[in-house]
Amino acid sequence: MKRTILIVSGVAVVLLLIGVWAYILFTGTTSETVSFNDFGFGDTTDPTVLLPLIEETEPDPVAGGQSERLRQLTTKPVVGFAEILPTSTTSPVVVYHVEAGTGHIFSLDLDTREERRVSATTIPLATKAVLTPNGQHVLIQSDTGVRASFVIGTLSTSSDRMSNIPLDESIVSFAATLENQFVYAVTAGDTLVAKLYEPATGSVTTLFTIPFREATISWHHTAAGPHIVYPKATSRLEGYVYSYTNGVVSRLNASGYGLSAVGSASAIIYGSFDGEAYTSYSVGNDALVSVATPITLIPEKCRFTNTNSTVALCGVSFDPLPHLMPDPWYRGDVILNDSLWEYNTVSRSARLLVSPETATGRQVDLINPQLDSTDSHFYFQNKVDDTLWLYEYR
Amino acid sequence: MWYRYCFLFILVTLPVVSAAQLGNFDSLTSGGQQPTITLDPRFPGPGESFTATLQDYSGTVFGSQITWRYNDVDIPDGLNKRSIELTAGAAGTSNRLVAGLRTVEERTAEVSITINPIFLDIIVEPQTRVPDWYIGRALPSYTSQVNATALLHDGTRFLDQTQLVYSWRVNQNQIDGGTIRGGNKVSFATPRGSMPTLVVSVINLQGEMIASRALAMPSVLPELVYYEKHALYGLNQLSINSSAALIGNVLTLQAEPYFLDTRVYNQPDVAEWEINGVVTNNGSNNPYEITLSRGGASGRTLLNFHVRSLQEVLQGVEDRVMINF
Repeated sequence: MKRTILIVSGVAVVLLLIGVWAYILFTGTTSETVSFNDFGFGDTTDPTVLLPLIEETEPDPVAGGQSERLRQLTTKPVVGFAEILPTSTTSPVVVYHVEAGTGHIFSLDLDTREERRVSATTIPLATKAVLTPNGQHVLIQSDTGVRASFVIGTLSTSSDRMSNIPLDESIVSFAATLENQFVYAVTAGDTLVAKLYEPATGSVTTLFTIPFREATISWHHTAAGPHIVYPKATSRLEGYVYSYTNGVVSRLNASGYGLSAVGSASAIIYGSFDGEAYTSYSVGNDALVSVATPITLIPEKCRFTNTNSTVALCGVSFDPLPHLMPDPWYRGDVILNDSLWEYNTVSRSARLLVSPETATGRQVDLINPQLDSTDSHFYFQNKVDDTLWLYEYR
Repeated sequence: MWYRYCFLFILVTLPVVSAAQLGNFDSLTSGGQQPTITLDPRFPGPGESFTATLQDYSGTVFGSQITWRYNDVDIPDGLNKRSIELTAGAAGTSNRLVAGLRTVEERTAEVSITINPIFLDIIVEPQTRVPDWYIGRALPSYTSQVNATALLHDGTRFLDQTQLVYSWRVNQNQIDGGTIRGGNKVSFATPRGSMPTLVVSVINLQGEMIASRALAMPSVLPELVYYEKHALYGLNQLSINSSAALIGNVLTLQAEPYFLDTRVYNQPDVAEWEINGVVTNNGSNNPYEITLSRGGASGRTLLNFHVRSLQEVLQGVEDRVMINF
């Protein structure tokens, strides 16, 4: 090889390197999106380089959406709550809740989250309250046991003063219906008598009589029922399920120790303790055979939807349940960590809706589940602090 | 002539042949005992599994072919079985079970029983203490009063108790001296033992027993649980396990003696609080409540509560909790 050719080649290589250096020096990077050493010579075969970009641009929409549907509505303990039926399609969705201890009633706009006190009338030691869906009447219990007293309040649109009427009866259980009435049970000798109170007129009618006193009533959202009745649950004594519809009693094919139940016009969900473990079942109202649910449901944490009598929304805990359930949970010895699930009694399938712990970092021991009339909103309280929570079901 | 003798022979033997072919109970009895069907449980509830057994103490069923028919449906699996397992129908239905017998002499007969499933529920309501907010049921403790109710439901309604006669037993001891018409509710004192047995039998006015059930009823010792009480919100329904913290200046605690006889709870012979072993006046009209105040320096103290009847010493409970302040 001639020396001239060798020198020219060397100079050309040097000039090429200088050109590359100058290009990088004045442009900074080869492109806006790729890294310093990417000269655009084709796709890389290394997938680890590309994955972070996909994660950044496409977050998981399901997880994010479900989390946003769950909200803690109050920081103070409440003793009762109800979503108020909107007066028009443009009316905001508001929730009334009754403050524990004082009985003051607050209105909470779900869109603006603005809170307003609608009743400043103090009901000392308010321990439980129910409101009619039209937001006009409230039934409040003050104190407990032999010192318990009950008042029916009528809310005013012009002031924050509530007009009260005492309900002088030994009430052991009460609820509000979607028909803007109150249903309650009173002791009468060795029986319980269920009554219907019409707050607009003050009239009282008897619905049905339960032939024993130690009964738990899972009230239906209508006065007609079916109202589910069972002896108060304990893991050491047997329980049975009765259903009262229009005053007629049916004995459902469910029994067991530690039995508690929740029901609809189609089916019931009940839990019982078989001596070793707590198990839950569902059974059709006319069926003879119960079916174990795929996940263990505690009926007090479930509510059947108003529009589909085969679907229930439940708080479900996967922590090991204590021995002799449900007694330790009733007594406050254990706190459960619930997720929200939907259970279908026909397809016998369960679907996870949201985990409050995952979504908010807070553990929820779900009690007092309720739905609005259209099943759009699922409300419940946290047993730990009695705060009010909302899950936007639809 | 011979056909006359044949006619006479047939005339004489025909009833014997007919009896052998058609059969009846009399043909299968021996010593006055007929084969019967027994059920276990004796009165199956609606939808409940039960075992039906063909009983024969005379031995006349020996070698017979046995067939079973339930509600007019043959049960092939029951062929030549003395016992079969079946499920009772819904409440209010009438379920006929038939066992067909064919002896080695080709004689046949039927034994039947009718099962009328009915719900018999025994609801036990112990008169012992649980807090008013507690949604569970109280449990019996020794000598405490127990109310029990028997409810019969035929699928459409509760049966009228005034048209029935009830017999109640606790540990083989008859309650109220004997059977009582309309006596579907009884009260009795919880006997000794951890698991007394309560039995109720229901008889109609024709003297036929229509249902009977037994259940083991627990008898427990009272248990003491502490709860924190808030001046505004009332009782915190989460129990205090072994220790409580006095965060502010004042802490109010309530002792709840679960399953203590309500009579003892209302008028206890002993109801005393101790702080570090020293009996203390709780300073409240409610003997089950105490309010503690911070004295100054921080530390720990042992709080003890004791409630008891001096007539029935098992009607009492004592427990303690550590207070950190």
